[in-house]
Amino acid sequence: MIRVLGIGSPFGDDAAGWRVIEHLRGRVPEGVELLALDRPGAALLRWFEGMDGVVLIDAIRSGGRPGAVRSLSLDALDGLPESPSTHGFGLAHALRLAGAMGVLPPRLAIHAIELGGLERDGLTPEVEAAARALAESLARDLGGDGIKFETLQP
Amino acid sequence: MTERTVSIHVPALTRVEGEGALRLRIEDGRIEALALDIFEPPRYFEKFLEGRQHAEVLDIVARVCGICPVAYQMSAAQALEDAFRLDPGPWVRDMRRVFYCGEWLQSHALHIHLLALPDFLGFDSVVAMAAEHPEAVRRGLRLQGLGNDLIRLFGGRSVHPVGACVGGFHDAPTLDEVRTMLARLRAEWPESEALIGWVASLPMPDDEQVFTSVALRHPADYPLAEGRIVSDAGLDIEIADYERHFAEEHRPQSTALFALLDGQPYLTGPLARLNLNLDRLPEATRALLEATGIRFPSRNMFHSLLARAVEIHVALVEAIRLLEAYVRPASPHVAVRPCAGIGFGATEAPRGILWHRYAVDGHGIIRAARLVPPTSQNQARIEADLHRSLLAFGLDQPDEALRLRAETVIRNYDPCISCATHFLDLTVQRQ
Repeated sequence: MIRVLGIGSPFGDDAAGWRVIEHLRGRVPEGVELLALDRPGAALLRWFEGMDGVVLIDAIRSGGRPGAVRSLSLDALDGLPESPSTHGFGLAHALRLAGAMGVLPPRLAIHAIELGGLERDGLTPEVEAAARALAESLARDLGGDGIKFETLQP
Repeated sequence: MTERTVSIHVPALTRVEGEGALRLRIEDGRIEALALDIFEPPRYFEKFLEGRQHAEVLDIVARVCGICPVAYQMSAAQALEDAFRLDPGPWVRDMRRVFYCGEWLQSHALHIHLLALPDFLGFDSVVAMAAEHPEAVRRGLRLQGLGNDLIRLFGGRSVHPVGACVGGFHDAPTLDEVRTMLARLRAEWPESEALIGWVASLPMPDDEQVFTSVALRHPADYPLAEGRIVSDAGLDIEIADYERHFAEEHRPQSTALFALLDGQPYLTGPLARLNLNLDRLPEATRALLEATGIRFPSRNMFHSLLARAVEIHVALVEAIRLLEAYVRPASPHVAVRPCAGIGFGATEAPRGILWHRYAVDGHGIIRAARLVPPTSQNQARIEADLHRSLLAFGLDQPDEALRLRAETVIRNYDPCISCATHFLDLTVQRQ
């Protein structure tokens, strides 16, 4: 069983992960579940339970070009401060917590879409195009060649 | 004497809801200044609400807090129904209680396991703790998830739910949905029993303090979505009389208001609720609490953690009891006929009493709103506790140790501090 989790919020480009899930609806084979999550914080971990593989899609702000899509390894998310408040408990912290508890899924893929702005309703055109392109590529991989996962546990 | 000023910049008041700041000045081994700064969003919301239709209020106030939106909605619904002299009937009253149980479950589970527990087990972060105690964190996340799903059952979603309205709910869950939820609630029952014993066994600082507990009190039930306001100093008032006894004052260092009861700090929240409502606990919960050997009412503030564990059990017991009698009503809400008036609402948010007052005109438009959240009520009490706890701890302790003790004291109140700044400074000045 594979779960594709789009993480986001209703604020501007932060909804990019949700948009990828919308584009994927009706286009994935059996055994693949699609979920849009609103800022789950530590509760992200419950969606890892019983999965063979998890695909995470989230918006990222790393100073890159809006709409740039990057596949991240777990290591790339290191270097964040410990003990954030609940408001700062994001994807990286949830994954670190899962690692400490030994509940990471056996196979994981993280796709990050560089966001443009958070102020407007809806996505900026570059991010909209990127969400569509990422959904196309995931639909292809899920339907045929298989997702390119990082293997975390044998 | 030379002045040595030490400023520590830390991502401070970590593991709380939002961000806040603490400033501490120590001179000649005395605390000369101690101030907890909290930025309070309800103050703006009071203005946003003016001129809005009554039907918009629940969706607006849900946005004040991502952790306790149900509390904001339930206090608002009660207040508006009070203004319209509307009785939503027993089904709505019962299901609001279930809805609210979901919020207690998720908020308390989050606080015990992810925010407070590292303090009591000696870890500086939940990630470090999770490596040694994965089962505890897993239990916390499971209970939190269950609470979120219970909120979703009535609210449509768990963050800023949209299912509640003045007069009741927009929709009622199906019998199948309720049956599925009941099975999950029952499955967590043994876990929540074990949680009470486990929390009671944690090493707690033994520090008795003098404070006044204030909580709601209901004729029959453990207080949640309704009741009178009582204290252990003899106060027993209608919620409409709140403003005659409780005053808020500005402090120059803070955007928050400090609430005082007859000029004195007081405690609201799980420990105050439990202290004042021991005889309202469900039988099964009371037996579990007695088996811990810890006596309540308690004056040890750190027993707040145990009170939360007790209230997780209360929430399970109550949600199960009420859902076992579930029937799907013909209509999940009663019709609303706005009329001019002033209405009051007070419910027990996870962190304590959340008090609302609305003035509404004949068209159902909000003319004035006042929201008093529990954290602002506890703010003066937290400062008094800090003062005392840091003196008892020893002001000659290193800055880092003082910071940790101060944070532990503050976290114990589970303050809901919304974000004004992303980093909060603890500034220690020594002279």
